[in-house]
Amino acid sequence: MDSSPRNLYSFSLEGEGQDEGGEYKINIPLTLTLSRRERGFLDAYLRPSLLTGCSILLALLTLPLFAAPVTEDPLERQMLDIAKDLRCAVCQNQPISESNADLARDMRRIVREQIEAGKSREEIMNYFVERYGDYVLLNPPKRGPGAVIWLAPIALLLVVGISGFVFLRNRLKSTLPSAPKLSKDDVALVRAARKQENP
Amino acid sequence: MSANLLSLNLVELGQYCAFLALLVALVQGLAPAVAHVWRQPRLAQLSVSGSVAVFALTSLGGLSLIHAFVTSNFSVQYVAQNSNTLLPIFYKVAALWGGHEGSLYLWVWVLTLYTMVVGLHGRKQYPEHLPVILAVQGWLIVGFFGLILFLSNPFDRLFPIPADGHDLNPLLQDPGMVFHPPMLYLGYVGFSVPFAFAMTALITRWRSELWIGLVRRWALIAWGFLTTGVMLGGWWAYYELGWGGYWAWDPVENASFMPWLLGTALVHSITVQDRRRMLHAWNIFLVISTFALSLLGTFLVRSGVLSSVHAFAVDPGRGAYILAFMTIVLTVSFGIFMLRGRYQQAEESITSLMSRESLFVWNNVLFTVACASVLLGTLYPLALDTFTGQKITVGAPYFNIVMVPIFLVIVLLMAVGPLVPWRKANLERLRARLLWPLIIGVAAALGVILFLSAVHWTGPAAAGIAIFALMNLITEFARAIRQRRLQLHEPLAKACAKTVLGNRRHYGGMIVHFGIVIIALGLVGSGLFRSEASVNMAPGDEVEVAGERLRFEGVTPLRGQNYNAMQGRLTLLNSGREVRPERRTYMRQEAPMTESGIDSTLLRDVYVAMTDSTGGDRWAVHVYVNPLVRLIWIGGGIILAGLLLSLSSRRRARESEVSVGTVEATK
Repeated sequence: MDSSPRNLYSFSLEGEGQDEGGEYKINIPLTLTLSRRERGFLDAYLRPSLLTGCSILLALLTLPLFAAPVTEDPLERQMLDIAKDLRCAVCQNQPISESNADLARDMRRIVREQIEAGKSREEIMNYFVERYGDYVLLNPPKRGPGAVIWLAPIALLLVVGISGFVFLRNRLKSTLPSAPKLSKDDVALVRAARKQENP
Repeated sequence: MSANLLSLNLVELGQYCAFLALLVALVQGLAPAVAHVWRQPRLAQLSVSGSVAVFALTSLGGLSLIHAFVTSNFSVQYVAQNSNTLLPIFYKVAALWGGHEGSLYLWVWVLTLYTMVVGLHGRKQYPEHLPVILAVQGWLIVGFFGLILFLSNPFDRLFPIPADGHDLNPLLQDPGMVFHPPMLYLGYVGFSVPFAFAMTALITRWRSELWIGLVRRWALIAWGFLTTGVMLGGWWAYYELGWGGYWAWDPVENASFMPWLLGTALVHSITVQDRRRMLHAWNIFLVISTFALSLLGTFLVRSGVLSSVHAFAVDPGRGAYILAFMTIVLTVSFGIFMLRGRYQQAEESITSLMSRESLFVWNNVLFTVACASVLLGTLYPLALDTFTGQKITVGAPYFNIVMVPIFLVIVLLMAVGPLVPWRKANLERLRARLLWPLIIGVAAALGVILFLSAVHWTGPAAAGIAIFALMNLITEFARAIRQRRLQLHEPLAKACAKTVLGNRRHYGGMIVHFGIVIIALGLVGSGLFRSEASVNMAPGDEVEVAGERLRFEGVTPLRGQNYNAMQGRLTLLNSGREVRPERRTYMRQEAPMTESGIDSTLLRDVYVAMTDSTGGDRWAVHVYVNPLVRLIWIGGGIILAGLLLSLSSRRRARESEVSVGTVEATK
């Protein structure tokens, strides 16, 4: 048996992927020992197809691993749903879900931890309000000074709407009164004037 | 060295020009009053020639600043703060409006441009009123130049001269941001022209029939620029900010949206005055308020009061000047309005509550409420903080809850309004015309409820109303074409073209409405049916969002002219196309910026933003699928097309129509 290094074919099948158990790597070392004749045959014909076969094998091994789509962590979605209504206190009017500021990052982490600890949305919101005040709520609270801002649009609509209606009503009323009937003397005067104009 | 010296001197020259412009504008502002007092009417012409000189001088000043930017003359403090040698030349020019001082300079530059154009345009059309109009504009120019030259001077020098400048804010290094401020300012400042006309009308007792047509055109031009500016702002936010949306109800955005809302009310109510001789005083009130909101918008954004009330106090001189200027403008203009506003109240009355003029009044009611709500939501937290020290936030969720119902009613009104004739509507006929569009609209709303997992009641409501409006537009147009073809037996294409071109003002408006409907559909799609996923991805990983499968191919480093970037590549497996979001770090800046990667088709945008490296070659990737976003930008284009068509109608269009009609009738 010819065991010169030339005829020793080593290669390995490698792959990595992720499933429910976490990440894993595959590494299968393979060594083929070939006679000169086999080697010639391989060089001439088989080698490419062997390699192709191997790569197909590799693909088959790894395909289901790669194709399983990465799914969003449901906790992340819950966190973002709460984060989008919380203001990043150091940014200009940005929710913490969209800010890259360190504070926003920390606040997102806290939201996450509290969800993990089983706290409800209300509880988490209250936690931040206690620390930063109503300022962190992008939706102003419907009490205290925040109540003004919620009532104002309704009040505005009423005031402007009623004034619009009153304006239209007044304009309707102010149609000109129909001309008063002419007295007999006036009719005679008009006739006389017309006669003078076109005799 | 000699080139450097020349460049140094050019900046001095620019500053002298700006000072001269201030003085000439002062003359321009005083001339008509002096001419009146000294009984020398020809003196008033000084303001007309002055307007050209002021524009020329301001342009020289502006060009010297641009020259300083292009030649990287860092002896100018403003250049050193907003540019550096690596900045691409395109952005060097645009850096003129990248900061506070330059933005104000651009503002006044645009103001002088408008003033000159009014001056040239009015010489034949309204020569006796022109000096007063230009004087009003002149005083505004003086006010702004005072702020620029004494409190925020872009020509200020820096010593010692730094070797290199800071950078233009990387967020602004984007084509959307290059064109957004000039367009916005052309809109804001454009409303100064109706303002000057209204002031002149009050002062000189100019009969409203004679100037309302002119003001209508100027208001439409300003409205067009403002619309473009607001749209570009949304487009920029969408592409550049990387959070998948285009409108955040940020106070800066609200500042541009308020004049737009009131300006929209204005272009509608002007029509009522033009056609039915009503609402004279209200229109003057709207003109003044719209311009006041334009000023407020500029100052809110430019004074730094929005980032914090205390930023305003950091530079008390500037803050006090701005407040004083606004107070003077408002007091003087509303004072004149109070004193003289009654002069032209010879109003016609309304025949029926179901008439177009009455619906226009409701349009104005709704737009005014919308504008006042935005104003309150923007200013109330500031006022509360200033006077009581309490801090609250009025954010996007609030504005969505309050504004969406108002907008729905506005679109509903828009759907019905154009079908209702002036004076008095025939209700029977109106009902017949509305029947089919209404059925289709309700069907669309039901379709949304049944087939799409609607998240909110606004989804079906908005879709139904938008489709109802669309159907009304289509059926009205079809009806007009059919009648024309019955009478004249024209081929379809010719009939369409003749109908639209024969009444450009009306069909221009209808095309604008069509654009609004298209935008409304885009807003419904992207606002209520957005899907998103925030995931960690390693090369080879795939993610699926709303049926779109993306494979993360990996990240490669990339070098731009003045930034380093990590460019991610994601393949869209459904179509084979690629998106390439980036994470850019600009030189001389610390925080990395997100450049989103977007694959856009008519039906949906796949929008990818890479946020952070999460160890190794894994990245936090945020994928959004936004349905129908492209409709918003298309709708913006349609609005502009309609506006241009409307503006292209000659002023005497109605008379020529009548003559065409009689010729045809006698055939």
